[in-house]
Order: sequence, then structure tokens, then C-alpha cells
Amino acid sequence: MSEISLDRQQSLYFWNDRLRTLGSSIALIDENEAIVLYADLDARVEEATQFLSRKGPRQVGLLFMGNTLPCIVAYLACLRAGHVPVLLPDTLPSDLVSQLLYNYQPDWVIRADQQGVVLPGSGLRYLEHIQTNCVSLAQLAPELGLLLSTSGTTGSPKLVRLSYQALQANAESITEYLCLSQSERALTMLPPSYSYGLSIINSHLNAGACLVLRNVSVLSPDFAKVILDQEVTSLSGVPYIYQMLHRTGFQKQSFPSIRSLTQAGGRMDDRLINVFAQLAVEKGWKFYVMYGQTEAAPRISFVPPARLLDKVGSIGIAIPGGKLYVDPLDEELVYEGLNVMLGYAESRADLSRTDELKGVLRTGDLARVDADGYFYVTGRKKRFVKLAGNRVGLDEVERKLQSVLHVPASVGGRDERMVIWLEGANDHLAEAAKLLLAEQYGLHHSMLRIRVVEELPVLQSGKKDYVALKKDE
Amino acid sequence: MEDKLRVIFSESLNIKPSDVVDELRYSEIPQWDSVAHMALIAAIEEGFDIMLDAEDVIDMSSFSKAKEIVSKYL
Repeated sequence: MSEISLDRQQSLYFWNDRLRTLGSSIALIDENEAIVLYADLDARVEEATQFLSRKGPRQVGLLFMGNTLPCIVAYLACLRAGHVPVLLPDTLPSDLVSQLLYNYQPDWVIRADQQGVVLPGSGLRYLEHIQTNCVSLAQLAPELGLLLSTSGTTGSPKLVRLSYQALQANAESITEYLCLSQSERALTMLPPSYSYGLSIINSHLNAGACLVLRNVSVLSPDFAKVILDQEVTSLSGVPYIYQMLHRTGFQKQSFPSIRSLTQAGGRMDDRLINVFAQLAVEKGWKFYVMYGQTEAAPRISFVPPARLLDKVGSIGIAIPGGKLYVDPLDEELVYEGLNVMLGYAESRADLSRTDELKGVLRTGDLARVDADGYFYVTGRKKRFVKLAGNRVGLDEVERKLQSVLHVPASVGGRDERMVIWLEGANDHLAEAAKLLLAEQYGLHHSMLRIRVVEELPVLQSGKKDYVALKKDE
Repeated sequence: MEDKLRVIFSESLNIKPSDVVDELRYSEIPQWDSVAHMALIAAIEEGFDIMLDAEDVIDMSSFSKAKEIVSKYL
């Protein structure tokens, strides 16, 4: 228990005393367009914190998040109370929820629509979870603050263990390079259970800035209205959000309040970067192209807007306080900083493990660096692609296809396009694969290329030849 | 035109042609999300060899609205 009092002394963390000191500034415009001052937010968080603290000093729970005031309050209260939440999207399929309940044996579940008591200050429902398998619940590592999934959609129960320090360090670093001040007003355009979405919340609260909590789609007629009415100063998006902005004529409209745009969540194509970089120059905005991973809480690098037009395609330079380099032996991009995760977890027992990475993250991406010190990702060691901002494991999809369709399958591709090869002669195979990927992973077939071939290429060793398949992408 | 548009909807949203009715609305079924919407727009443009204006991309919020919009371009 001593570590709890220690953590609560960490008054500079954005979820602690910092909220208190900002008093009459506006923290949030909530989903009902009500103004919430920092003092109001702090009082709500404190109320929820008291409730959680009475349940136990340090517990693990599943917190289902959306961009709403009740969810933000519950999230901050968990951090303040020393409870460790797994942040999850409200839309998570129930079989995945069951798997998380089984693997992590949480003490509670907090979400909007369920049985249970009202979490004071928040309004979400708190439900104690009865542990179903009688493993001894090991003590949580003292530095563990938050658990995030590496993927928004797929079924892996693997979680990233982030420390309190990592959250605070990344929020401060982002505050610094985005030059966030109290006059900023960010529109929350991404799910808060997604590391990029969460980092916008964390950094803006850290800066004493304001968040406009609206789940408004770029494709909604309300999108432009919210920006104008709420005088939003910054937007953030993964590549496909920028495609939508482009296609819906964002560039032709006038938004006097906007000052900056940020992009992360996968590689955006150079043409689109150029379009928005030019637009930013015309409008006097700053456009930040950024790179990160959930494993780094998540921000790793950014391109300073003034250099963007000569560094299109680069992931930029390390964020303040961090260090980037390319391992000369295998060309892997390595990042060092206080925001690096403690390690992964796959079960409740793993939550007692302490820091395994010691601030050094091997990103799994291959990279080179140019004469000005700008980094470029050239390939990927790990087998995954990012689709609509979400990481999707290629091996996992491959196994799923094989087990359901009963044919050999190989899955490859690049960001925003997954390529699937199925061995067979059956025309229905492609349709069946399409349907399976839509149902299981929520992948739209416009992001897929499916090829049915007579024989999958194999290496002499008998292993699948992904290099040969790559030529066919 | 309506039949051709129905086929495009059915293929882009991965739903049965018989489910493509006038009342079918954007974001009211999981299959018609923002990613599917962009694929739908691209398929309509290709299928009818037209270029939709930005406003129409946003306004195309139901099948009946889509019929109305596409007919303007033909």
C-alpha cells in the first residue's frame, strides 16, 4: 500500500493536483455541449476516486470508453485511485470481452450500459466482477498504471503495460512539440481506447487546454458545424480520415479557428501528405505528420511542420526527451525514452511483472536516417499491417482463414491494404474470406485484395514464401 | 439506374440486394460505416462514370437520397 501514497504524492501528474490548479479554465465541452471547468472535472474525478479507493487500494478493471464526460471522469479517477484500467471500445465483441475477463480476472467492469451501481461523479455503472478461476491474484507492479490493446479490432488478449511515468512523460513531450497552450481546443475524433486518441486527451489535459467531446464523423453534415460552433483549433486523424476530409471538400471550406492538424496511425501516402502540407501553408496552419506505437504511450517521432514539404515520407525526428536510432546490425528502428512500456501482458499474473524493457523499445520497423537526421521507415519486421489506423496481425488472420475455410492461406500487404492468397479452385472462397474478415475483424473489403491461386509458393524448407507473394501485391 | 445502383450498394456494403431499400441509412447498419461509405462513393463514380461533388458525398445518407443524387449527374 505504501506505493499508493507515493503515487498520490506525484502531484505533477496531469490526473492529480494539476487538474485542481487549473480551476476556472474550460476542460471540456461535453457530448451535450455543456461547459465543464477544470474545477468541476476535478471534483467529479475526486468523487469517483473516493468510491474506487474504498473498494480497494489497487485493483484491475475493464473500462469501456467513449468520448464522453462520464468516461473521461472514470479514466482519470482510475489513475488517481491507483486502479489499473484496461481501456476498451464500447463496441468490442462480447466473445473478446469474455476472453479478457478470463485472462485478466478483473476486479470490476465499468461501462455505460450494464447492471451495477452508479460510479459517483461519473455516472457510468460499476460492477464487481467475481473471479472465476482461483489463481492467486499476484500483487500489481507498483509502477503499472494502464493497460491498452495494441489493436482496436482483432481478438488478441495481449495488452501493453504502461507506467504512470510513461503516460505523464508522453503527455509532456506532446505538449511541448505541439506547443499546446490553454487556448487550444481539440476535437476528439478518435476512440479514447485507441492510444492516439488517448494521447490527445492526455496531452490537452496536461496543457490545461480544452477538449471538445463529440463523436462526430467527418462524413456528417454536423462535422463542419461543430468545428465552427465550438471554435475547434485542432483536428487529428489516421490516414483514412484525411482521405475522407479530402474527398468531402474540407480544403474548400473556411475554418477560421483551426491552427493545426495532426496525423498518425499508419503511413499516409505522399500525395495526400503533400495536399495537406500545401493546404496548411496556404491557411497558415501547422500540419504534424507523426509516428508512434501503443508500446510507447504512443508518440515516438514527428516532423516539424516547417520541414514537412522537404521531408515528405519521413517519420521525422524523436519527440522531446526521446532518442531514435537505427540498429546497424539489422536496420531495426530503436526508440529510447521514459514513455516506453514496461512490457506486454497476456494474463493477470503478468501484471505483477516490473519493467522489462528499461526504456528501450525495438519498434519492429526497419528504417534509415538521412543526412539531416530524419528517419524513414523502409519496412517492417513484425507481421502486421495498419488498416484504418488499427493494427491487424497477419499471422492471426492467416490462421483464422485456414481454420474456417480449410484451405492453405497466406496473408501479406502494406498499410491500408491487406493481400490474401488462398489455395484452391473454388470461386466461392474469395466471397467466404470477405465475409469472414468483415464479421470477425470489421475489415471492409475495399481494404483487401483477395487472390485464389492453384498453389501457394513455398520455400525449399516448406515454409510459406512471403517474398514471392510480395511481388504480387 | 436504380437496379445498377442497388447492385453497387449491395457489393460495396456487402449486404443482400434485397436489403438495399429506400430507408437504408448511413451508419444505421454496421456494414455502412465511414470506410464502406468511401468505397461506395468510389464504386458509384466508377459504375456510372461520374465525379460526385464533395457536398453530395456527405449528403448521400440513404439509398433514396443516393438515387436522387446520382440522377442529377446522368
